[in-house]
Amino acid sequence: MIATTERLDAAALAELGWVLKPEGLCQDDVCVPLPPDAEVADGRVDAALVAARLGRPFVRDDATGTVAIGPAGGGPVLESTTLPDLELTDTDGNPFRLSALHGRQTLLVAWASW
Amino acid sequence: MGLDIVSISLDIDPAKARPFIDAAPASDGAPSIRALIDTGHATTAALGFTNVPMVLWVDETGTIVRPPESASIERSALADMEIGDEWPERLANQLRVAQSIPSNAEAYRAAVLDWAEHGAASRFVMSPAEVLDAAQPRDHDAAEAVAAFELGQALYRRAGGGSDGLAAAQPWWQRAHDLDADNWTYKRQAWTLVTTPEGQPSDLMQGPNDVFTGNWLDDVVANGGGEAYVVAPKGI
Repeated sequence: MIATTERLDAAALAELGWVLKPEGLCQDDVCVPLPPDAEVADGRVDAALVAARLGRPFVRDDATGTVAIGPAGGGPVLESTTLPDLELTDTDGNPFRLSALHGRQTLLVAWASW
Repeated sequence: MGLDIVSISLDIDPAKARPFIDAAPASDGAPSIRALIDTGHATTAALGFTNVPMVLWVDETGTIVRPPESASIERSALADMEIGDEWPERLANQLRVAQSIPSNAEAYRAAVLDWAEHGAASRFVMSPAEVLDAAQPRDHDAAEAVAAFELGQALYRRAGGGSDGLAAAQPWWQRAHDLDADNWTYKRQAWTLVTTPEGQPSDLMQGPNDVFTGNWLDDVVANGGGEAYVVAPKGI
């Protein structure tokens, strides 16, 4: 997840799969409390703190202030056997969600020009 | 046969993929093929494509029944190419290493056809537990590599690509390479942006360069050679 600011809003948190509530960062029935002194203003919370609480890697480009939060490590890449609903693009540049493949037996083949 | 084939090009620049997609031959009776482009390497992060070509099987319910694995359905033309005595040493060595990459094309094609015919009853379909067990692992360094590569991409695009983009992305892509040396999509994507000659679509040699520490030949050898270059399909 990429953000151009170090304070994440609701949309950025949603991209990570979490919602900010009074209990802390929540995903379904699970909530991860934030430290009592965590600064939360206008629904925004510090990206490095979010990454630390969720056990996710955090990197920051000092020159631009751009930050990225990676996925959790320490397990398989696939979190489940349900195909993630990624948004890619078709050859005309239009967005295409993998959920559109539902209902068809599909072979996904990764390749590259390189 | 109800099997759909969806090709996903892991190319940060979709224009690089387009000529190959346009050149793909259409043939009567072939399964339908949909071409998609993954300019952000999102499938690397979410599915575990660590090299190309890799393949993933998904059934009609959207359930993954085989995890990402290295696969081809026809033998590489490089496999039987004779190495001439007059070849430059590096090129000859690169082909020798390429020829040491295991191929299971015939068996893999047969497995795909079996799945297309028998669906869930195919002996090549894995249970959910088997899929997760065989899925690519991601340790903490590899997880940080995802973030580093993604940050590099964001900076590359913000700088407008080209040499400015490479300069902005380089520290982060190099970090991704260092953190996850087994991820060839990160390395090959970055190398090719540096080593492809002007006007050419790509550079499969991806030799030594002044921007990134690695290159295809030396990294494959250092990582264990052709056997270690692929994610071998289980049970095929």
